[in-house]
Amino acid sequence: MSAIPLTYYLILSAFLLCSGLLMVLIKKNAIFVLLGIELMLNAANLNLVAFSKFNPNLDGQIFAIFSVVVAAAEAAIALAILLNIYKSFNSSDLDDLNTMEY
Amino acid sequence: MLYMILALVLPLVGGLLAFASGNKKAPIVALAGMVPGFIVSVMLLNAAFNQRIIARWEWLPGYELGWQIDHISAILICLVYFISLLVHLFSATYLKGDLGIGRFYAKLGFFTTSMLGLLAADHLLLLFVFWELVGFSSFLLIGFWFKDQKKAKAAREAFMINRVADAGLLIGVILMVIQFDQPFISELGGVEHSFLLSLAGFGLLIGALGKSAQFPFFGWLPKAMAGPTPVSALIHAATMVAAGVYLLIRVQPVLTPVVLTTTAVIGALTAFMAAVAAITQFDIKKVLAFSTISQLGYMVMGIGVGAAEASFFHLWTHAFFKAGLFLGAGAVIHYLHQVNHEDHSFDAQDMRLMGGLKKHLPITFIAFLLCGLSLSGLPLFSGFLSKEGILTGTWLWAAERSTEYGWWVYAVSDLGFITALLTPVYVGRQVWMVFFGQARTKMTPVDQSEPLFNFKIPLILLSLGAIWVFHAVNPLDAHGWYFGKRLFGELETIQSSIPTYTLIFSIALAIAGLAISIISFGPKNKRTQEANLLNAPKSVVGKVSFNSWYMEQFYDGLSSGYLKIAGFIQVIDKRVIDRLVDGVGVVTVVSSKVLAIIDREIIDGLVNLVAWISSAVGGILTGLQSGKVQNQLVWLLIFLITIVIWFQF
Repeated sequence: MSAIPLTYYLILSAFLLCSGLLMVLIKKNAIFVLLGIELMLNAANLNLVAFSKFNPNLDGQIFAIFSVVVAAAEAAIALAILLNIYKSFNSSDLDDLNTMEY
Repeated sequence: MLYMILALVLPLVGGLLAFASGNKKAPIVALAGMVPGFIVSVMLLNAAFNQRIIARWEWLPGYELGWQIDHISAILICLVYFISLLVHLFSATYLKGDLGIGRFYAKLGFFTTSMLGLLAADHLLLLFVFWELVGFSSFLLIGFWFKDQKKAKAAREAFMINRVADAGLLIGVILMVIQFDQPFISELGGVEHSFLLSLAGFGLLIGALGKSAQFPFFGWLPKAMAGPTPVSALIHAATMVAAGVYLLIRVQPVLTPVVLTTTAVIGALTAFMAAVAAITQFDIKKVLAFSTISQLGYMVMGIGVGAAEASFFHLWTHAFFKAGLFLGAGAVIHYLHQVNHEDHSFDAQDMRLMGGLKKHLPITFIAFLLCGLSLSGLPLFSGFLSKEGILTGTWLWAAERSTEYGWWVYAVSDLGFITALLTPVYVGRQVWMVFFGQARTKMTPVDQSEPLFNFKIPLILLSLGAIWVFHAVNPLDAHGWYFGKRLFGELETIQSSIPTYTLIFSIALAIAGLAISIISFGPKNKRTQEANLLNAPKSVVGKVSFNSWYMEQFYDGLSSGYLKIAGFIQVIDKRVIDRLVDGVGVVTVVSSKVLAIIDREIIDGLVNLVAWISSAVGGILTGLQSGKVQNQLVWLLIFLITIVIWFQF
């Protein structure tokens, strides 16, 4: 069978990572930042899976499953924190949340 | 100690009180200071003969000033008091009616105190201070009639010449203090002869020459005759001019041979020059002034040849007979003033207008004659004793040194003998012109021409001082002075025939001189009969003598030379130095302008550039710390990538 070569996976994963990173860096809303983080996480997962496909060892795939679980938990906690922040600041805009500005 | 302080300040206190108490009472008040002062000084003499009086006190920490009265200074203090007392007495009549008589007594007291301080000072700097004070008070007294331009000028001249010589004294004093490492005159000694010591000796010698009116400084003493005559008697005959001789006697033990030889030569030269100058003078006081210079020359010569005790003896006897001569001249001038007071152009000091005065002033005549004979060096008078001592000492010195120095040292003693011949000539001339012959101007008897107390007593006392018995028993023995042994100790006996020759020579010379004066100036001589204001000397020698060796022209030449040099230097100053200074100024201004531009454009620009760079960098770097999370993240990413790339390659 003609398999999709690894390079394609890696390019996709890099694209995803960059998209996530861009979202983290340029989005004003904290929700989108979280979304960007999820994207980057998934890019990493995709990498794991892709590498493990060309490796008979299944460690990578298992690690990816773990990672998905952790990401779900992380998303839940992050959203909870965000909800609380929204309650106290009455905004989810990152610029408004800034208390470190000089 | 108490005596000393009293003796030193009483004249000054008396003088100041006299000044304060007004013109009428001034003489009496001043005398009230002088009489106890004289008594104290006699007690001081007695005390000093038993034991030297030394007083020292700490002036600054570790720096002492000191006074010392030993035999020499005690006897001179007595002498100054004695003469000063008589002068105070004499001035009371001489200056009667003068509006400044209170001022006169204050100055006289000031002078007496300065002179006594000079004699009592043991510290070289203290000596210098009193030396200057004496010079200054002498200036005040010479210029007593300061409204007369000529007299004020004479006072200035005398002061200036003294100051020139005093500079030498100051140098000498400083060098002496450096040489001996201590400033007390009584402790000088114990240092090897060296060039510096000779230099110090020359400095002191110059100071002494100035004060004692020796060549080349003697021009000031005839000028100083502008002061009142009693002042001349006190200052310019008996005391102040003796200060130089006194200083030389004091420092003589530490002077080097070369200085002593110079001293002897200058003394002999001065004695001769002044005696020549005295012969043709017409001013009664100028004759006496030149005779004083001549006699001081003897003293200086005596010190130079090592006969200090004879010099001191001569200083002592000279004080009596010369003060007597001056006071006699004062009496004459006073009389002529009284007689001719309505004629304002009348010169009461011109001997050409005198003559035949012995009828009118008998006591003055006798006193003047006795003192004059003493000055001439006739046996049986005091002047003979002391002058013979000096001449003997000089001859002995010349005989001793001739092998070492050559024949010329005999010139020194020969000049002494020639002066001994010239002295009776001018003394005789003066006596003939003033007291003998026909009166050449109006002479009328005046009441009280010689007041008993004020004129006669000083004159009689001083003329007694001209007679030998008051100084020594033997009228022919130069070393028989009563005080001689106490002052200088036992002298070694001289194994030589020179003293006998000197004795014979000086008697012969004195008599020959008197004979010459009778022949050429006596009352029978035509020249004296026809003496009038027009017959100034015409021959070359006469002109040299009358103008006192052109000393004044020499001073004038010196000062005009100085003026020329000063003018030249001023031109240089204006043309060169000033322009240089201006040029430097211009260059400075221009260069400062250039520097200002450089400063503004380059230095300031650099500074601004640095400031701009830092603010730019700061601006960039503040972006790092914006506090915005996403910005921070961007930076984080950039650095992460950088690190990764760094490790990659």
